[in-house]
Amino acid sequence: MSAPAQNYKIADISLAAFGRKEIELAEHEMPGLMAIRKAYGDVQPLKGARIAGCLHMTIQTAVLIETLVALGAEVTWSSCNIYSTQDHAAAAIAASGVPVFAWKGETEEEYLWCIEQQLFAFKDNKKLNLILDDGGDLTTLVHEKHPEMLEDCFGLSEETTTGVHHLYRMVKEGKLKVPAINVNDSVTKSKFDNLYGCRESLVDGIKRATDVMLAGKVAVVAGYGDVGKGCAAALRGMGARVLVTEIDPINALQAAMEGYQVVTMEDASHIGQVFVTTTGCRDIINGEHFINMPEDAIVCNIGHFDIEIDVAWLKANAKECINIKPQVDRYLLSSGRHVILLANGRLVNLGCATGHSSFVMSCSFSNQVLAQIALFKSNDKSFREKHIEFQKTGPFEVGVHVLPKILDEAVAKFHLGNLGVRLTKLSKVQSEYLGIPEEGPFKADHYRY
Amino acid sequence: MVSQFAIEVRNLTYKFKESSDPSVVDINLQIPWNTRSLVVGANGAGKSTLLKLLSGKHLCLDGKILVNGLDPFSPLSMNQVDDDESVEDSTNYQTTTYLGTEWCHMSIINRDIGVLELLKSIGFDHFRERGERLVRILDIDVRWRMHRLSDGQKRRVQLAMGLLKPWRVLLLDEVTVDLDVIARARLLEFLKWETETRRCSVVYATHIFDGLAKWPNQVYHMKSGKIVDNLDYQKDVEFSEVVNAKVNGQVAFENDNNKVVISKVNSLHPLALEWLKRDNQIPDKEIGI
Repeated sequence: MSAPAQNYKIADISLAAFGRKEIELAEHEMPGLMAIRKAYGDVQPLKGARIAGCLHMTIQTAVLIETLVALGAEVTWSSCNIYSTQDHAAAAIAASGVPVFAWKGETEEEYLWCIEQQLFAFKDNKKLNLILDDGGDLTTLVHEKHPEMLEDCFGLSEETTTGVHHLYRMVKEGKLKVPAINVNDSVTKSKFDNLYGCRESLVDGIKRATDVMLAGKVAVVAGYGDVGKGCAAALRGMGARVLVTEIDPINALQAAMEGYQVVTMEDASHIGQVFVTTTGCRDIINGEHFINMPEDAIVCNIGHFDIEIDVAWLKANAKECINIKPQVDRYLLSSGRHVILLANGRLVNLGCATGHSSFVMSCSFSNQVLAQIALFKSNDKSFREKHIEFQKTGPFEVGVHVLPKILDEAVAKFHLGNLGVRLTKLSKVQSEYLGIPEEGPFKADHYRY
Repeated sequence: MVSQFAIEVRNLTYKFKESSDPSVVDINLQIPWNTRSLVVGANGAGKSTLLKLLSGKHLCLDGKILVNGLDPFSPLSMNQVDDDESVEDSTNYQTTTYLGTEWCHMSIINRDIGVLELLKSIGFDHFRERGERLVRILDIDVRWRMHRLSDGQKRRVQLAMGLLKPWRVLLLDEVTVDLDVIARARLLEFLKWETETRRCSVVYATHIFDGLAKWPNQVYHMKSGKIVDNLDYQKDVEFSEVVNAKVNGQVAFENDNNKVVISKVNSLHPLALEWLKRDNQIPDKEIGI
């Protein structure tokens, strides 16, 4: 452990020892990150990297941060959400020497202040040369307010769907100045995070917040992308009757073929008892829908932004709002009925629970680590030749890139041992027959799992 | 350079987002070094909010706060090198320390973790001499496990952890309420000694005034977010033997100046102190450092 950081702002440094204990437990459940430390620790592929990270400051993220440091990086951190910080995780990371600016319950002004601070927290007043983002707030702030910091920047990696949408929009508007890796579209990120992660963490959040029994209830899932698929599966698995709303005909057809009823929110709002928004868009649930809802309908969001649910309408038009307990608000509407809003319309799995399980985050974060290495080493030909999984990574042009399939597969490989998986190997003859190298990748880039 | 004041506040107003009214209104304050200030006021008067703002817990957008000449919200101010200390010394001080009631109410501290482990996690080995003094003063057994402690014992642990790293400005927010009279007396004496032997100041908000008659330099009275009275202890406060006092602790305000005269007060504090001294076989001189 290095010397304690002198430059950090967190709720309470005295919680560091408690955070450290949980980090030790999380390490066991994050085998991908631990395997990456082992695989690349000797090489120190991130030596000289200065990574500014903006991602929920949780125990799992602490393992990610310490993995980046173990590979040689200098790291500064802020949270991408004002409620998601686990103060003991932030304390443990600050105590380990990483400048971290995050605490649970930041104001909006403090949130932006934190992102600003991390930009100027590198040693010897140096600038960042890599960005690790979730949702795009850090990327946006640097591009708009500190574009000079992008001059020697190798690029950025983005964690989540909404952040990636922002990146593509920046490309379209000609505003993106550095290469960006869309980590979200790695299979081991989006499929695993959204499907397996949300499948477990959504119900965790709802139950911690309300203690509600889901069996037999009508649950409405807005959106049937990866997040929606995970949420719908979880709710159905708990015995709920699931309705899906969807704009995309392919996703809608998938939902129907999984046995869900696909309806509009206007239809669903009359009969839904639990509502979950997952779209990454806005105004999915608005005043028109709230008025229709049955008594004590539970409404929550598990997409990234807090405008999926029109909370502003709710606050402006409710007759009364009672805070039942932290992150659980009960609004009385003009209809005479109540609506229960979780996490104030923000991420329910982070506001009301502890986010995705560590194993799922290990898959997600392993992609982030490999993406950061790919960006930093994109011009290092000898590194890329020596490590076959990085052969196709770089040099990157300005634009949005996806990690090559072989790295996605590498992430999966790093996790197999922990689950007792014994992988079958292609024989030489089979390899020749299929035209697939023995070491992979085993699928074409366009293959959808 | 060394700032003239420990704390300097100008036109400070702070409103929580969910509130309709500000918690703290138009505060102006200059607290000298080497002083102990008492903050008095009703529940909801704004004492805690003021102390948290002074410690840098909240970002204040309206007004100016300087602690040790610096913005307390900035993490860089926490380890500023002052002219009267070397660079090495500067890593041994932090600008502000805030200790409030909420630490003991966090469920996380009720986990099974040793007190020695907690102290080590924040630099006990580095500040060994100071740490051992605090452990002795607060009567802590470092073998204690957090999940088995009483409220008072947890408070002692919090204080030892919070005071371990030397501070320039200490902000105590009703943090002695769980302590027994001996522990509280020892703590107050330690803090007095600190402010007399090195450049630092203490601001203490409390509702418990036993044993404080000789302690503060300054008393601030808050009401509805404002400082409505400000007493220089030595100049403005007189304790008098009013023979004909009609009530216990009669207070006379002299209208032509800021002076306050307080008559003798009956209190059980001396009795409690004496009982606990005998119970624990503590010699009189041991109450001090």
